[in-house]
Amino acid sequence: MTASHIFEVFLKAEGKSEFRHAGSLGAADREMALLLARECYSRRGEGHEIWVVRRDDIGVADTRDLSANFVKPHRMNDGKRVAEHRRSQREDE
Amino acid sequence: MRTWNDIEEFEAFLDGGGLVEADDGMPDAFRQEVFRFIEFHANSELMGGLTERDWIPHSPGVRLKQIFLAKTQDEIGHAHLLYMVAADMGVKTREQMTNDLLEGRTRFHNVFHYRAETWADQIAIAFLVDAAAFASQRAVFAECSYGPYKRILRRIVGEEGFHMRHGEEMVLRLANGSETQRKLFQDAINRWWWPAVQLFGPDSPPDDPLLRWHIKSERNEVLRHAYVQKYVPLLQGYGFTIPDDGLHRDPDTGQWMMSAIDWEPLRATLKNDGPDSARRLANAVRNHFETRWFRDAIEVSA
Amino acid sequence: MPLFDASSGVGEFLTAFADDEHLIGSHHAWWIGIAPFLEEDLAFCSIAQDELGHALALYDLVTDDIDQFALRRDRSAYRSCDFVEMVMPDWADTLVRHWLYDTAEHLRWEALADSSSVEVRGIAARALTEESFHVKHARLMVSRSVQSEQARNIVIDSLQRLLPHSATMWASVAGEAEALTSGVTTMSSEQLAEQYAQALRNDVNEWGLDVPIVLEPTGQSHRLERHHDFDDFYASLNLVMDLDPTANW
Repeated sequence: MTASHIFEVFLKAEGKSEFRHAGSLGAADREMALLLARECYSRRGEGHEIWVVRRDDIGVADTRDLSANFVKPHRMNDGKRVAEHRRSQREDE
Repeated sequence: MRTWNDIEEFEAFLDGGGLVEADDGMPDAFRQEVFRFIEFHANSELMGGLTERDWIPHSPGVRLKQIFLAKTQDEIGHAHLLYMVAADMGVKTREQMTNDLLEGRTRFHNVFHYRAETWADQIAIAFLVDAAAFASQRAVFAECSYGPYKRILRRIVGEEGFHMRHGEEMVLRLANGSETQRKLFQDAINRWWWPAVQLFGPDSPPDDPLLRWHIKSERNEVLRHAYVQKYVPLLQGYGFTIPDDGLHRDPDTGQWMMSAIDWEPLRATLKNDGPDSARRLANAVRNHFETRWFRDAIEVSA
Repeated sequence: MPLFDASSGVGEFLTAFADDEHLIGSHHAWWIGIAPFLEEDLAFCSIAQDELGHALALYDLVTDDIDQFALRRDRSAYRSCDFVEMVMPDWADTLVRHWLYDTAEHLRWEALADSSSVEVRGIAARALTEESFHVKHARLMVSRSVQSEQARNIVIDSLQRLLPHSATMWASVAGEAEALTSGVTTMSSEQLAEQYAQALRNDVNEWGLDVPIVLEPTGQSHRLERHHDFDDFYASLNLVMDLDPTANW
């Protein structure tokens, strides 16, 4: 099975949770991957829905581009100043 | 993809709880060591499945056959997950790993070089052997600095939990059963106790890279000792004896102490020279060869 | 008390289906760990588990002690057909039998979906959800494997050898008459055999296989005799139980 394709498998559990990556498998095509995915990743009903995606079709972002956003304080607010203000008001009363 | 300037920087990253991912520029020594470890684990799951396979046709009940099939299916499923993760490390393809296993170039756990001789052996595997493997897997899962391995270990450890409970339920059945059943299980313990204890391996070397790199979280001898503390009283509680004349309780610590372990049988299995290694590998090779036309056909259709 | 007496007509009819499921599930199970590749190993083993589950549900309708009934009955009391009693240590034969068996099994469950027995209806409804996966799996794997010439020849050879044996699935037990008049089943084996042949014709046409689908009449065997592979299977099934037949294993 070396020349066949690798598919990434995503499961969605019942309820509000989002699809999550479960792992991968080898299959000749998408239909086969869907058929085989259940017994590889959902033997006890872990997935109420399953997606399979050819690994080759996944776009992967450059981590260096992503790291630029690891620290963006102007997009955050921890609420500390307002909390401090309110605390001091309560103390004044 | 992340890179590290040198091994010190990499090890500091691991010491800080960092997780390495498949596309990271990890040091080659780490890649090789972790790959070899996962491949060994994958091989062991597969060969464990083949050990159990021998007794599935003889399951004494339709429901039992269904349950044991599901358990062995999990082991095969674990092998699948592990081979996928190992292949992504870029050291060998899945096909190379299969060929290396079948041609005797790679190793697997000592216990799966032995033949299950009776139905009680099947249960001893589900109880004693799986428990030993489970303990060592949990100790890897606890830290495990290689992200993809840690994530599939969560699934594997979860499923082994079902196997543990099932295994003990089966022991209970034999323990509460007839004289024939009790004797059958005692004989199985006599065969499997030492291989199960040896599964943990000899004491970890002083500078085990697997410990230093947070793949293993605990030393072999510590895991082995904890296993003995748990399973000696469990088996005795069910009315069975441990095949170790020197087994005693340390009067000061209350700990169970074993006789010295003979490591020769373990060394033989590591050379694929265990009691049932040749037969099991030969069967697997023949079958792999005979189903090749189908794999080729599927590949052509891709 | 079981719902149906195993020695009644309906009981015999349900036993025949249960025995078929039990034997095919057990033979499929032989492949665990050695199927052509791991993903397929998991899928095929799941099918084996499902068939055993169907057997359990059906046996439960005719006996209070499933394991004694399923494993330790006198061999003459089994009602399985030749096709499921045959041992097939060859993947091509196994794959083709899987396709033929599940095509037939699906039709057999559909015939029970409107059963006059609410219990039978319930089991059929559940079995059909599993069967749709089995048929999909069988058809996909056969259709993918016949795309190369070498494999196509292997599959055609198996099909030509196994097709006549597969007709034994439609050998009816004497009790089928009662199952039909009481409405427990809604189709005769004869009617189902025709639908079966048509389903196979559709498949071979779709895949471009030049194999005429002709089912020879299977005669009135009534499933009373066992295939010569049965004895080994029976002994292997009882290997452990024989050690202590009264024990709870």
